[in-house]
Amino acid sequence: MNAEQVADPSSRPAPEWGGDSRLDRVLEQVRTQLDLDAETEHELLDELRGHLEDAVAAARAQGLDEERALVEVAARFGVEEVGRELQAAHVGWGTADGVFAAGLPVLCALILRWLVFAPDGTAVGWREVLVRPTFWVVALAALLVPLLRFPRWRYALVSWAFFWAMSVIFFAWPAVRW
Amino acid sequence: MASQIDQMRKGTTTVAILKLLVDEEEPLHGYEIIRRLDTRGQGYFRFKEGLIYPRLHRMEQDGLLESRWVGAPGTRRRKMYTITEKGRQQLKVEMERWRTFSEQMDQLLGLEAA
Repeated sequence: MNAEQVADPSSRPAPEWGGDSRLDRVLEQVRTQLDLDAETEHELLDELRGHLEDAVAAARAQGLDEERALVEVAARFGVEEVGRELQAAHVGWGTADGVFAAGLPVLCALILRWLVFAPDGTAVGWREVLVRPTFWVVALAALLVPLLRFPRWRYALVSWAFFWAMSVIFFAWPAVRW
Repeated sequence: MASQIDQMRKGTTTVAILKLLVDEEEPLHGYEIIRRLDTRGQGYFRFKEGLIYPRLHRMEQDGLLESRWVGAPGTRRRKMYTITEKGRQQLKVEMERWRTFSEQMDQLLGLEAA
């Protein structure tokens, strides 16, 4: 998933209709079936909210009142089944990716530490490190692997930022040992 | 009868979504996908609407679809889906498989001349 926000002239403000709290209750029924990380849950519920708002608006355009429209839309939606199926679709994937996402920058930092310090324990100069192909391979891997592997590109940025932060620390304070 | 249709629908939802996205040639959000599938199927394949989302997410995880959130902050955001190259290849395979299955069933049931 490339989760990015772009301006969309056709997008409308979220409706302010009085049924919002009832719509929230429908979404809460879905949410009770979920046990995922907060960001994933938020995105899922955001997507479902858009669907329900569209469906209620369409039902009201056909002459149903607010209450009746929401009841009908919720019945067509299949609240509990949707929650269960969404949980099943996301649970295994999220855990495995989470572990990988956490481990990758650490692995890159370990390789970096091996690159920065000579076998006798002295730190090599940053100019020397910057001409080593291995350094750039690791730096690119820290960016590209999460970018290609994970559905959220921000994992790549986090990994990238962690790698460069470690690089700066190593060079700025060469006496650091870990 | 309803459960038989339900089983058939479950087995064909993926190919139906892929075909729709190829034909429409534009990114679509979940509600619009359901609406257009319903129009194409003339209501025959109607199912619990919300179940389209787990299916879309699985297809995305399998690399058949890509999605992006569209919408400026403060306005309604929509998650738009497009088919990937892998999805297009999968559609070709599924269409061919469906064509063979359909022909064989017609032959089996003596419907090929109908």
